Amino acid sequence: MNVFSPMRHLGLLALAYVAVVAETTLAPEWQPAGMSVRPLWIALAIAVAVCEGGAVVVWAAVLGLLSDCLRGSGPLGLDLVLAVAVVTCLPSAWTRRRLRSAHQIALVALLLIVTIDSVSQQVRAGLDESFSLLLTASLPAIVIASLGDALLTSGLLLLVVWTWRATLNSLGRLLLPTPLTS
Amino acid sequence: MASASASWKPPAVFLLIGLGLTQLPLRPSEAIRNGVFDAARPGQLLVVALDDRITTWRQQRSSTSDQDRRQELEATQLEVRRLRLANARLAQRTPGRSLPGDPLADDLAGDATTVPLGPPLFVTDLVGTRILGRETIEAWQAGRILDRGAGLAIDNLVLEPGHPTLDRGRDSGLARGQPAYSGRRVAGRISRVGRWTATLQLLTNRGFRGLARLAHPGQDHPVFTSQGMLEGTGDSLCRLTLVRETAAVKVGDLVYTAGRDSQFPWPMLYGTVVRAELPMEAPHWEILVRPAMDIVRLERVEVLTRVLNPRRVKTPGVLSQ
Repeated sequence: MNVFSPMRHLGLLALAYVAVVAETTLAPEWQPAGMSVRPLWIALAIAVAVCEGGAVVVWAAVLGLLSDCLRGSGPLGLDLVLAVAVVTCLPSAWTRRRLRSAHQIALVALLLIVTIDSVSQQVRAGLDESFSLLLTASLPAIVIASLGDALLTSGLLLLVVWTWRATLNSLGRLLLPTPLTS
Repeated sequence: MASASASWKPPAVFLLIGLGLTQLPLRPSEAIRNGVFDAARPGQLLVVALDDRITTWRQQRSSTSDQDRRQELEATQLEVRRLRLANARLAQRTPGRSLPGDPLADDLAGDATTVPLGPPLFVTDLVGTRILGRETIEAWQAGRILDRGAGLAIDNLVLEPGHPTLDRGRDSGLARGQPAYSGRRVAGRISRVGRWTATLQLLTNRGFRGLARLAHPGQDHPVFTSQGMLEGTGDSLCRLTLVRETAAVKVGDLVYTAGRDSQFPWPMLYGTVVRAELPMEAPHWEILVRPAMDIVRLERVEVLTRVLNPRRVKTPGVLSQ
């Protein structure tokens, strides 16, 4: 077992808590052009990037359950099921290759948000209305809204990852010993 | 095969858990939701506190920057005033606005002042008049004054409420609108004229208006700056209006008469600025002026009269030449 695994999971736990707080405080306040940021799915995308195998599924279940709790309406467990299903279907889960590129992480976030949010909102809305009416009336609007949220969130995530890696690279250069010269 | 089975087991387990949660009754579901919200509460409070601090800091910063800007504006305004004052001092040395007795101005005036202008069309004269007291007026109204047949009728007495009555009238050449002075200080102007008497509109009376010039007290002579309109307020002070906001005005500045056809070599004094305020965004100053003359102790005034110059009348015409 990797020595840094517990630290990684502790970090993800802190990130999940921050995401829950941000989801209930900052996200409703900051909605540029009607789009909103989904911090919980940012945390899930990062978990997909830094963890492997069953750990990713566990984090998907945890963050999905938290998302269920924050939605306030509909049954618990829906986002959990969707999050687990999506992360299981991701190519990284089958190829067992970790995501390295910032673009890949942002793409995962985009996929997560579009899929989970669209289906979750659709199902929650469908519990009150007839299924056929729901498909014709609200599906395009929900998908478009989810796509907007996904684009904003993944763009933000891309910036965060770039900044993080640039900071780490700068620190690494500072801390590396000067190579010996002949 | 073992690793493949191990890879689908966790998702399957959590999918089953998730499906089980969807069937959870309302009360346990709400309990779980409330637990999550309660756990998030400290973080939410922290965010709210941070938001408050940031808002307060921004307000303080903006108010500080506003204060800095205001101070900068005041400093700039002072600088503008100082430059305008310097400009006014320099302007006094130019030929167009020269003061009498200024050698530099006389030099700069050059040939324009050497050309003889000839006798003026009008000549002025100062008619000294006394201000009638209340007892005299009452005696006149009561017919107790012996006129020895000179026609001192009650109807000839001109009176106006709030206006002093002078003991000279049309018989001495007084006419409506003629300025009245007390020494070098402006007292007012003639408002009504009778045969023997006239009334004086004091410069503090409501309705009095006269062109005025502001001047800073200089070392040798006052330095004239900007023009305005002096108006009576009906109170003991006058108001100086239409002085533009770019002018340099301060308490203690002197206010003199203005106008091109002044018959004196030196402007007459209206009074002293006792209050000068420039409201924000206002185009003009708000100035109050205390009259130079003591209205209560005023006993006599000199009225400036203008008559046709007799020398011009006697000058032979072109045809006679």
